[in-house]
Amino acid sequence: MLDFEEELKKFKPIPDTSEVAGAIYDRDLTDMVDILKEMVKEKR
Amino acid sequence: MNCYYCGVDIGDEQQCPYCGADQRIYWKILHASAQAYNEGLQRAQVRDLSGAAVSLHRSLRMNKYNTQARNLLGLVYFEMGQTTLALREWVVSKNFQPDDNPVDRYLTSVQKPGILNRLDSIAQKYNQALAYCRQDSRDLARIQLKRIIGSHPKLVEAYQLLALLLIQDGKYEEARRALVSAAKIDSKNPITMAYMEEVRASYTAKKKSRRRRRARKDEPEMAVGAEAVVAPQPGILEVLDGSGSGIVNILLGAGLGILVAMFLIVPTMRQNENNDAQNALVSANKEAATSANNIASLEKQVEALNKELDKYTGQGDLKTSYEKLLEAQKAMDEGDSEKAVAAIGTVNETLLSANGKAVYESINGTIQEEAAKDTYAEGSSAFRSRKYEEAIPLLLQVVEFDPEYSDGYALYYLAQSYENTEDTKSAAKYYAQFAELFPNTSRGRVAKSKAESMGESDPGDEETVEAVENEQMAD
Repeated sequence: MLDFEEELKKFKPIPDTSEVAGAIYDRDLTDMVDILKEMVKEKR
Repeated sequence: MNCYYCGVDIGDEQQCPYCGADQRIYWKILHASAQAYNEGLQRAQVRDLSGAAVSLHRSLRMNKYNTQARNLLGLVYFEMGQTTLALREWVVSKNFQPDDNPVDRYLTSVQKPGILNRLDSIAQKYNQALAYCRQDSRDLARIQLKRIIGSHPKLVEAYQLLALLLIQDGKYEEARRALVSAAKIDSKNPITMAYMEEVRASYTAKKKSRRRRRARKDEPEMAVGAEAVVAPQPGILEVLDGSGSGIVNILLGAGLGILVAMFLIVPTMRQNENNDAQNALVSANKEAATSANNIASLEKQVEALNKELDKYTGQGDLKTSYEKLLEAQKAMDEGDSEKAVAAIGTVNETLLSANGKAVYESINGTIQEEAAKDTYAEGSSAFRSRKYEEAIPLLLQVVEFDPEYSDGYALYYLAQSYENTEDTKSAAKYYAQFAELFPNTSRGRVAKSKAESMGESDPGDEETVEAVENEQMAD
């Protein structure tokens, strides 16, 4: 049996299009190449 | 290919000749990112949008410059109704690759007038529905979600939230329909699948309980103590068994049944019917007796009332009796005896006072005397005319009024009339009466001798009449 309250927590509000900028800034764009660069940099 | 560390074009070299960075790991990362993109693309092609998004995210985690993966991720978000997330990915994609980027087409189509406003409005409505859910206003939430689905049928989350509400309210069929619609957009969404499984489980539970109920209805149960043992019912073919013994058993059973009915049930039924009839008869007799008693009682009452009525009807009441008495008195004074007789006949003597009764008796006596006088005249005339049959009743009336009327001649003529009609018994009776009333007269002596000798000597009619007339003249 589903727990209604718990299931409800899974649903998040949909951001408005005016919040796209914020969403972009919040987006973590770090990838593995960036990590690799960091690792090589630290090694040297 | 450029070195990932210093950015110099190094061709196919495994190690950068300028910075010495090992390129093999970088290649592996790019290869893994490409693989993840391919996986995401395949999933998107079979409408597993959630799975595609996961794969594309993985691809971008490895290589954030994988424009194809980012553009596709934006497209997947847009298809799932997540416009803002789609725009985010497309804007970033455009930022990483400003030129020759297919994302321009997507952004142009989304930025047409009115589209973003409409998409914002849908997002606001969905958020409102979510707020309703958290406030436990499920009905309002359901209405809002249905509106959203009507205007923007690609918002998977709207279907899922609606299904959750419906499941919570036990409306599994409606929930199933919402989930099917959601699955048409995103076929393997984990939330959609979880909810669908919940709906299936409820259907299974219902089917099981229905089967149990049906089984309870269909199968006969023999209670043994606290438990119930289900006894299988043999079919008619099993009973007959094809051997013929079953039919014989059935016929024997039917015969026994008829015999039992004839010897046990039918007599009992008849006995009951007879008892009922007897009871009904007794009851009817009782009712008849009661009715007879009632009738007798009523008849007595009627009789008593009639007697009571008789006092007042025909003879008049007290006032009428006195009026008639006065009328009779007046008629007597005027010499109208007929009118007096008629009036006195309607007077009720019992209602009169003592004085009234004295007056009544006086008038009545006078009237009767008058009547006796007339009757005697008529009777004696008939006697003299030798019409003895006519004379007898008239003279009887006079004798009854006064046996000594006209010095006993009425009585004497009556005795002679009976004698002449050969009624010696009556004649002897009245002769004896006369002799008793007038013993010292010659007629008395003659009457005595006649009474004594009646039957031995029978004097002639003419002699008798003459003798009597002579005696009358002498007296």
